[in-house]
Amino acid sequence: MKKISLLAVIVSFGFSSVFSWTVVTADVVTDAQIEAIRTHCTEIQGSLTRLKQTDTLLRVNRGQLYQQAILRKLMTPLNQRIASNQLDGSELVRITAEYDRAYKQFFAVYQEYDTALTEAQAIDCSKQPTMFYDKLMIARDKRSALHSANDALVRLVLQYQKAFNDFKKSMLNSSEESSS
Amino acid sequence: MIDKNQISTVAQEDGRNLRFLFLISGSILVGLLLVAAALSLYITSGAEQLDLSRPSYAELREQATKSDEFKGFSNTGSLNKSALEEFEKLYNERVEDVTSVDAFGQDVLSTESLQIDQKSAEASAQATAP
Repeated sequence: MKKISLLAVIVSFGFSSVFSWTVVTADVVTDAQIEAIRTHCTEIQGSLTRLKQTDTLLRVNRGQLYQQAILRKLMTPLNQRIASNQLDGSELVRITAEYDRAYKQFFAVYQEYDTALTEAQAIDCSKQPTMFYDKLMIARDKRSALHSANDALVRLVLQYQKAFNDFKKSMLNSSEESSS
Repeated sequence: MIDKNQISTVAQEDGRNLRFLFLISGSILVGLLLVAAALSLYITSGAEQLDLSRPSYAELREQATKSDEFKGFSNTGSLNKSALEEFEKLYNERVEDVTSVDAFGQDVLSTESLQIDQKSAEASAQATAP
């Protein structure tokens, strides 16, 4: 019994070691990469600076589109007009609430991404290439999360479009029925 | 012989000077605290990341869309066919803007994009080798 339990401990230790080794090697930067980072540090920092500027502009324009144009000047006024005409716009209201939450999430994720990118830019990659690489990968993950948050907003915009089309169809059908 | 009135006058002047000093110091301290609070809000609220007023963003300011240009849909009035069609037209134009760009889609921070992946690094090392 003792031998079996000892064997089980050894086997599980071996598995966990292999697993952790596998996880570590996926994130480990090689010597060649370290040298490449040191050599091309200036170009990489330049790329990050340009990326930060374009992403800032993209964020501002997307913010204007998602929040000002779509949420405040289209969804909300339509929902209010539907309510003031005592019509059923519950589905549109539901999607609007979900859209508002998704926009706040997008805003928060962008802050995290921008912070991560700024932290990467602050490191001198010629002197600390490994730390720079780690910060860069974090920024990359945050950007991927930002893309997902953006996709969620796009899906909700299309969902609202479909819900509006259904609403319009039912409205026009009921007005035709009442006129006939 | 020193007059008692003279001593009292000097003491009063000293008192006024001290109060004046406290007033100035207190005002500066309150000002610094308010500036620190404003700066903290500026950073934590996310406004810093969207601020295009910095000198390095001068070109980007011109490219930023203005929110006043788009009037939107009115929240008052009846909902007849023409109103619904008006909304549909406005909304479809915005949908076109949303779907025409895959925002933040490109993997520009990948090692391949920055040419620091293993393959590029080895090629670079061979190119610079003596």
